[in-house]
Amino acid sequence: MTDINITGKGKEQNTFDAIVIGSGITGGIAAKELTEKGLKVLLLERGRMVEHLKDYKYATTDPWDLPYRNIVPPEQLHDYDVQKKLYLFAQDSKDFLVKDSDHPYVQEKPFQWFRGYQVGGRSLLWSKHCYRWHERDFESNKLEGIGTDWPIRYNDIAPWYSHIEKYVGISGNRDGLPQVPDGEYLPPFDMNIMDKHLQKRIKEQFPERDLIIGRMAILTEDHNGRQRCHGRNLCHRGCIFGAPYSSNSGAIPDAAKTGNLTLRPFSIVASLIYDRDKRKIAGVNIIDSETKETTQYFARIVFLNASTLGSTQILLQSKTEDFPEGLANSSGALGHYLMDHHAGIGAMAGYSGFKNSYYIGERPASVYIPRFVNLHKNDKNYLRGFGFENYTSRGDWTRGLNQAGVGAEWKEELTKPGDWFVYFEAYGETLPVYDNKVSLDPVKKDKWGLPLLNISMAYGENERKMREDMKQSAIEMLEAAKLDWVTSFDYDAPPGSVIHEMGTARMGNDPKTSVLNKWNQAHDIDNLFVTDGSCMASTACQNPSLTYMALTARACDYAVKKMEKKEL
Amino acid sequence: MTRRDIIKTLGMVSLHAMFPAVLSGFLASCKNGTANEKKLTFFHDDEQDVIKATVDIILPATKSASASAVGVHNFLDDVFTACLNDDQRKLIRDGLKVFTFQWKDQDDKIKFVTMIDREAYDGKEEFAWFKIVKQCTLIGFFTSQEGTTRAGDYQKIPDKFIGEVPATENTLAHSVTALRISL
Repeated sequence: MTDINITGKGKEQNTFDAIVIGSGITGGIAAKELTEKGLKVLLLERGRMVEHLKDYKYATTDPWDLPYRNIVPPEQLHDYDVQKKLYLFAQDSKDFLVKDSDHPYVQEKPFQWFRGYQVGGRSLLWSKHCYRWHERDFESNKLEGIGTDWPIRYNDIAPWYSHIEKYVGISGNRDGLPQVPDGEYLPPFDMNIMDKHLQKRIKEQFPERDLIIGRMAILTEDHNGRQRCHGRNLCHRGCIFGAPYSSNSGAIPDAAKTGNLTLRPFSIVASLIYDRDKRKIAGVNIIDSETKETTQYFARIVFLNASTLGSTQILLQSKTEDFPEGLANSSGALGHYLMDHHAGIGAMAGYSGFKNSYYIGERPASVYIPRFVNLHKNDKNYLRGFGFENYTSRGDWTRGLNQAGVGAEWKEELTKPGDWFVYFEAYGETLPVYDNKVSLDPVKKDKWGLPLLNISMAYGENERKMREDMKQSAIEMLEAAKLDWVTSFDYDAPPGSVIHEMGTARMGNDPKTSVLNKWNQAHDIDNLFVTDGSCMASTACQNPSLTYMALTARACDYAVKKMEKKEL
Repeated sequence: MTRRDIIKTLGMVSLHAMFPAVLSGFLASCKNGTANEKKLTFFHDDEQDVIKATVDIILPATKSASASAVGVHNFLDDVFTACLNDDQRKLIRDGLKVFTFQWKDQDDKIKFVTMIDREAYDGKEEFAWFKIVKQCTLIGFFTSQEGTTRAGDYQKIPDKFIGEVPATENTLAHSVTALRISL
């Protein structure tokens, strides 16, 4: 590696008001918020550029023109040892996923780490479900004596949920359910006949369970310069309409419009530069991922948004004399309390009725059943709860592969919509445990000379007990719907597989047990903010990105106000 | 390996290393109109008519073209050449011999293939080879442009998702854009 010396005016040219590390779902928001408030912002991204529209390679490719008809042949699979296990993995998505061969890590216990190292990160691939947390989600750690108390409550974040929902554009209904508080919504996606049938039958049999249309970061009407969804359900290729929210379709172009954004891809942050005299972050050391040259950038404040494990890895790599266990880690909590939701369990069903109803287009939204257990009191043999993300559709020609039949009549039958198929998958909260952790490997390094991350996480007894109820709940709801057949499933997938990894730099009131305060500000270093999933003190069961984005916007507002008062 | 073991392995042909390349090559040849110009490498001369007739009994011309019009017999030829081992190829070849003996008029052929198909899906070992012939016929046809656009409703840009519309006799199923095969 070659050091580029900063001399003369070099440091000045490399100095910004703020550095944002990572351009994924929270990094994009941080860059947008800070630039719109007038700060000159350097946005660093370790991967390549992906420009909205221009770099969506397969956005309009017909299926018969996709390489290998979208299958990834074995000779290409060896680079994607972990990523190939993702449900989305195919020719049209793999370029937005890392090559595991370039970015290895160590699984001390099985952990599927799905990543996207490009501008936009995993905001190009996320499922886009957006549900607010409710008060009990924030209170539970304190009430049950688990983990650390959240330093905020629902009222602290509610205005920021609204702020993000209005910016991003969330389609959904105001359903009036306290466990998923209503937000600011565009019109919801349609339900089909099966969704409505399930909604009715479930409510009749289980009055406390509500099936609602998914609340999605996908536009149902034109909004903030992006166009509404056209019903292709190919969001993961990059959308030519900009309907699904991503940093690429939203935050980065909007940040760029201010004239205050500098975006530098191919920039791996090796460490943060700590000024021990001032007890502040002075800047960052980066390695250019293509040339391996190193350089430095400087700023008044730093927002660390490199994704849950990426941010924590940078802090661990930045250890100093004052912080021998990792920067901003006087608590010892850094790297610990790693969590991921647990899912891959539920039931599916088939139905030969409703033959006279179909739908136009493919809906990128699910139907959702919010948590209905342990809401007012804990009356189960486990703590916390789970929600359901469900999909319904009619069969296509592929049903012919496994059924007897030949000839004209059978062929014509295959060209028609088949039976209804219903899929109910539960997503459960996972408790924070100290021993679920990440650390830097003392020996193994990647091709840039940075230590590999060791990941050690296992689900616990609370999760196992909850899973029995998750499966049983799915079965009983589908049986109540009186469909033709119901069968349960449990994929027993390892941690990481839900791609909601959180924790390892948790928020808390007490600097002795947490890394960040109620503003996502490091207890130890006041100009360092961490607002991605690493900050989470618990997981709830709702998809987390909306909460990450709200925390980010809130922290940006706080940081800039402090800067204006010269307190940062 | 016993005959039963070999039969079991036939079900894995779509997972063979070469299968995606073979399918991709076939679809490209459909597009550039050369699908029916290929020289067969698996099927012998005396088997060519049999396999063409067989795929057309499985998927004859209806509102969309027949399987052989799209060149599906050539796709099968490529799959059986590239994705099968010698034991598996022998199973297919021995199976096809049954057809050759039994050809009479068209009605008889259809009845015969219908019977074999039923036996194959009932799990009769003797006809298990037919399953892979049929499955590859379906895959080759329905993933082609003809199959995707004429034997399915290919909605490249639907305009918007509408949750409930009437399904009539003429309603086609949405074409599959993301192929996930599980045989």
